[in-house]
Amino acid sequence: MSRRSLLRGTLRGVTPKIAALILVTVLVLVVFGGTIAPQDPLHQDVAHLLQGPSGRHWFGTDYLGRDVFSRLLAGSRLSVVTALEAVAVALVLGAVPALAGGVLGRVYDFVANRVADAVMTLPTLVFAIALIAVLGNRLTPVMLAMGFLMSPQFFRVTRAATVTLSGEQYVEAAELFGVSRSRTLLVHIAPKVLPTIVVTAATATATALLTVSSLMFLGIGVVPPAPTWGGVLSSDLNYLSQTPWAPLFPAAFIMLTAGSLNILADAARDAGRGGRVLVPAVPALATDPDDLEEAAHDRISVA
Amino acid sequence: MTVTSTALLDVCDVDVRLGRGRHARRILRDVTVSVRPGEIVGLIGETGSGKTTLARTILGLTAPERGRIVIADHETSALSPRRRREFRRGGTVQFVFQDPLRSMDPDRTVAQSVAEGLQASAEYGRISRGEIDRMVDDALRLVGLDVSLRDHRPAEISGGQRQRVAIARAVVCRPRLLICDEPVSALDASNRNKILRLLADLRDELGLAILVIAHDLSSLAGIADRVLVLYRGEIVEDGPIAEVFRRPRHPYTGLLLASAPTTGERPLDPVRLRVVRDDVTRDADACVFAARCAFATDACTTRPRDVEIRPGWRVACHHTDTWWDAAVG
Amino acid sequence: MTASLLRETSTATTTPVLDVRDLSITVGDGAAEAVRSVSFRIERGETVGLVGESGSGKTLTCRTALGILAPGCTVTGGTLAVDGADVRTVSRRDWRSLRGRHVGAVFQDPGSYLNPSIPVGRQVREAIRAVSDLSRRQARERAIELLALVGMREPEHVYRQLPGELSGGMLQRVLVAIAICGDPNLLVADEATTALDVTVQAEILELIKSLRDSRGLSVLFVSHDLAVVAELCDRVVVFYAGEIVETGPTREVLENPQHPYTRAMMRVASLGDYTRRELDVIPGAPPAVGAALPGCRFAARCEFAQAACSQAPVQLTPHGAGEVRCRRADELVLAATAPERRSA
Repeated sequence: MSRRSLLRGTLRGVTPKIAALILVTVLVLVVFGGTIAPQDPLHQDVAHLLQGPSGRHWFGTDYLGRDVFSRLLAGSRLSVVTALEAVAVALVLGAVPALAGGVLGRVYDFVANRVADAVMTLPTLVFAIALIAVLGNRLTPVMLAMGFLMSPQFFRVTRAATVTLSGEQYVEAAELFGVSRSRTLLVHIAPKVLPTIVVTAATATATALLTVSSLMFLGIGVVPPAPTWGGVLSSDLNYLSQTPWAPLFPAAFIMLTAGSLNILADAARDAGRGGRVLVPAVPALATDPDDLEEAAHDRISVA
Repeated sequence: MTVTSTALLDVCDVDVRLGRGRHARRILRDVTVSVRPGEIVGLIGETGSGKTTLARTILGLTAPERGRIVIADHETSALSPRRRREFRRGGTVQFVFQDPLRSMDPDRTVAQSVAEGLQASAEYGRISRGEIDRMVDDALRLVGLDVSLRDHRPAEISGGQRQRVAIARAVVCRPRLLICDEPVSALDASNRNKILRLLADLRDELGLAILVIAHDLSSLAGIADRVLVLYRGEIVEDGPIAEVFRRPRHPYTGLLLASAPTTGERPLDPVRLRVVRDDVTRDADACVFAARCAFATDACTTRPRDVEIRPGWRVACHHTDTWWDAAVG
Repeated sequence: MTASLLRETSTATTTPVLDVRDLSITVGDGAAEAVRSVSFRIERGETVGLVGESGSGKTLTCRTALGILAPGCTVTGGTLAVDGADVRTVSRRDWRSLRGRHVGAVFQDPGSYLNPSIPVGRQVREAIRAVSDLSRRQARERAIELLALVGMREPEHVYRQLPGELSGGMLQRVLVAIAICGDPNLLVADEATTALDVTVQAEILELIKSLRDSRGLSVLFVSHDLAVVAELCDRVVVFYAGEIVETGPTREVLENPQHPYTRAMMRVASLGDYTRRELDVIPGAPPAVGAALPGCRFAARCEFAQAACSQAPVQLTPHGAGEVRCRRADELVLAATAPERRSA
């Protein structure tokens, strides 16, 4: 399936378009959030603590008098980039060994699978805390921890796709031509696994964002006073009785971003399957059903 | 096209078993096939005959339990994986799969797929991009395709064109032996004949030997010199095609011919030939066709030896001299 | 139309089992006219073969008779009546009583029409219950009878088997059993033997013949294989590029084809003579589906074409015991076309 038709198929319908729009906005915020924020996110206006939404402070102020709107805008970068970095780590740690499995043989495959199983059993929070205890309470260990813990997901998905594709006839044909296995992997298998990895990356980013926000909410990986979405959420909850509406804003940012990622990931997955939910009983719906004859002839029973 | 006497492909007494341990089943037994340079040999086998396994064994994708495969004086059944890859890159044998839609990468263009066949060219690493393109275009023209197809993907061209592309990438490196698995089963009569003619032309132009594997007789008609009939893993008849079709020496060959739909006269009546014998044992040591043979007797509880009708025509049947008269009488 | 009304009309023995008049079908949501003004009939007890290349329109016609045209395909003209019921007026509900009771079908890949996890006998039983009021036990008895009727040697045993345990030939027999369980007047076989081994194909053809003889079943047999049609059919209808170009009794059409395309097809088909070495082809390719051509649609590939052939549309005219669509039918004497039997 060509990339262009995959893109078009993904964006079919109203919902995916809205999701894409949201993500583009988030991207803009990640790059320019700090500069377009109307006010300095660190500036403490002591005279106006815990204010509600107003003309000056669209989302109100927090317990230190800082403009929440500006904090959220500026906090986009740290939140989203951390999540993306974690996904990048997961991808490299997971997908690369899985692809290598296409070349390296059965023993390697067995060992790699068991390692992935083992990593999957590690509890996120405990592992993150342990790593921080060793490396210090900064963002980098958090990112590494999450990346490491998410890698089995990428490993599994990539391995399944690689195994399926290795059984295809054109791979066997390449073998008969004398093409080396690594070249077969590069030319025939990897490009087809890529869409699956991209879809997994989208959902993983959503998960990572939620996890990062949760960790920051718990105070792990937070670097005060730099704003993050999870951090803003956390500070709001301490003063819930006075500003009950406050958590809505950071929560909305987190949910909209994560939700949009998931929507686009689903749409891409459906588009990759041909955009159909129901699979018709006859092969490929051609415009000329007499072509079905030709297509049906192509399926001949084999001894 | 003169046919020389030394065989290009020699399958000698090959046994193949698939599956492991207790579940292993014997798929091929004592199979002997030989193909000489310039010959077109047809192998007919219905579902369950083992013809695909035979093709895979010749190509080295499956290892025989017993026997040898010799191609151009190389005993390929005894090669290590690395030597086997070297042999494949030598380009002596090429294979045309049954379904070009499945055997070509759907995301790669015609030109890219055909160029993959050049892997087998000894100079692959050293020839330039331009040289590759030239050889690809030559191969496309050789199989009767317009070079403007080179940038299309397999799904964008017709079934007949796809089959030609599959053939093009098999001949681009000028092999000596071509093995085709059901090359025309998916095509209608006119396209079928076009492809068969193409194969015959390639044999004439390139001096190829061709082994065509088919499940029906019309796939071989008109181009094969010899035919081998495979039934449940054993070769039951091997002889010159026109004579075998006119007067087969094995009852199974007779059944195949009698079953083929025809408008003409039919010396053999399929109804008389088609039986299920409950009185004959399905012993491993019995004739493989006995349980379906209208002419089986007690003698058929032992495997028949090959009978040589004449040089180049052998049959595995106890009653090869008598069954025909009984069938038409 | 209600089911009872359908049954009334079908008992009239003069009603053709299938009556197609000027049928036209477009595909691709109206983009191309794939079938133009096709007319033919199947009377009681007749076997008619539709032959032609892929894209000729025979499959579309056949699917219209079963009510299974793919989305995007529409009947834009003419009528098609199954046992007197015009399919254009039949609702989805009525189709359910038409199918099974008036028309049954078998297709090319039998395995894909059966549920792989349910024993075949049960699937036959359910088909029976869909067209009758029999109880489960009675339907089971009937299913076993049907399996024996279609040639199974141990019907009770086969009843319990899964599709995966049966060979292609046996699966096709099961589908024939399902197709005839409602005692239809018409059996549609769309490339039903194409993917089968030749020995199995012969058995299935014989089965169809015996059913035809014993039950007075009419058969519409669609195939690109001329030899199979020659074996089975009383009459043959030749399709080319969406039109009928020739019809007639099979023997006559094969011995004395009137249309150059029919003759070319005969030349190309092996028709059972495997000793010849010439491989004829029909040069060129059929016109694109729905292409609007001013004159004869075969002219570009026809060795007898004249300038006038491409100028005006050619009508299908009666000729001998059949019809032919060729301007020059009367003047051309197409040489006997049984493939020359030469020794190799």
